[in-house]
Amino acid sequence: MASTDEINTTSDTSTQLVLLVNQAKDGSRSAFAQLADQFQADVFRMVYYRIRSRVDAEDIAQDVFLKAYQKISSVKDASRFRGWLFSITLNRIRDFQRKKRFRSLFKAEDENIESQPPDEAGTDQPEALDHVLRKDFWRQIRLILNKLSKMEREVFLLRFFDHLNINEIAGALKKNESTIKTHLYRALAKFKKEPGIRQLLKEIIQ
Amino acid sequence: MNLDNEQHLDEQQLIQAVVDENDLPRAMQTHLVSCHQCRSSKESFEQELAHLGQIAERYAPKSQKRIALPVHEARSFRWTFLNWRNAIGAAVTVAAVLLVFWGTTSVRNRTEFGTAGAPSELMEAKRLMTEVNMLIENALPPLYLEITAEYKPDYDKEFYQFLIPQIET
Repeated sequence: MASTDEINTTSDTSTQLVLLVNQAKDGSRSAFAQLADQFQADVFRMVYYRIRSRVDAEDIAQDVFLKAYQKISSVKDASRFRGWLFSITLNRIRDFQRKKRFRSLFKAEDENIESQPPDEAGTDQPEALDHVLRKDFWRQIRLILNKLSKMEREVFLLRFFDHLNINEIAGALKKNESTIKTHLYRALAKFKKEPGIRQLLKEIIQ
Repeated sequence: MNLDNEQHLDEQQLIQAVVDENDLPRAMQTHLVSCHQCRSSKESFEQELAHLGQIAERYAPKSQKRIALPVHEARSFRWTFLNWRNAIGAAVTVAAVLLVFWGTTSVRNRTEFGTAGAPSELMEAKRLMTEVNMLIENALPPLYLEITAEYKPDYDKEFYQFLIPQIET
């Protein structure tokens, strides 16, 4: 059960967010800059989880915030800014993947995570074991995600990687909540049948 | 351990509980609250999924670029209000007002000019008509009129008969 302090802090954060969004809607550049600082990491990671390239993720995150900056006046409910921003991010990722597929038609080999340099996934020089675990983790994640349908994968990522609740996922994907729950249920059923990732998680945690 | 005869949640129900506990049948919800084993299984699975997200976050790189915003201000309400449709409407209205204003002024100026310039125009017309009438009476210039004796009214018919006698047949 959440303590009173926690509830107050969450409430304050939400109020501050609504305030910043409303100021940004009125044309305040500094308010939008604060929103960008607050959500940049989330948006960047969201992109990275789906395309696995730091450089592309940075470019897409930049595009997302430019688009959001231009369209901020269209936000009707300031409290749903996060969902709205993630919805823009998903659209940008889809655009990127579509272009990438189109480009791959004219290329002999497609770029994927395997072709990236090993240190692409991290900024610091990791320890050897950590580095191996990191590589293994992303490989296992890729294997699991490949077993899910497109919608199951998206819902699974949004729920457990991007930490959106069912309502926010429904808003971001423009689907009703029961559809989201069905896809999430199927994704979890498949995840539970994968011993590899569960074992790896235990190893990493230990 | 659940001591009564209630059935424990099976794997499907456990997954359903993780998706949304409220979607479980009422009896299962009640059981989940009271059964330590089922609650523990559910929480363990939820924790596993939470770890998945945390590790993904830890193993994801950090962005090295800061978001750069455009230099100009974001579009304010004022700009939103003046979108392209409103701007075109406003431009057409202004053009229509200017056209009406210009047309009215032009007509008024023309009318005023016509009234003020009437006497001089009339004088000019009179002068022109005098000249025309003079030309009708004597088309030749004065020098030629001397020669033709148009200025000597006393030269009558007899005089001309004298100068050029008629041939009698």
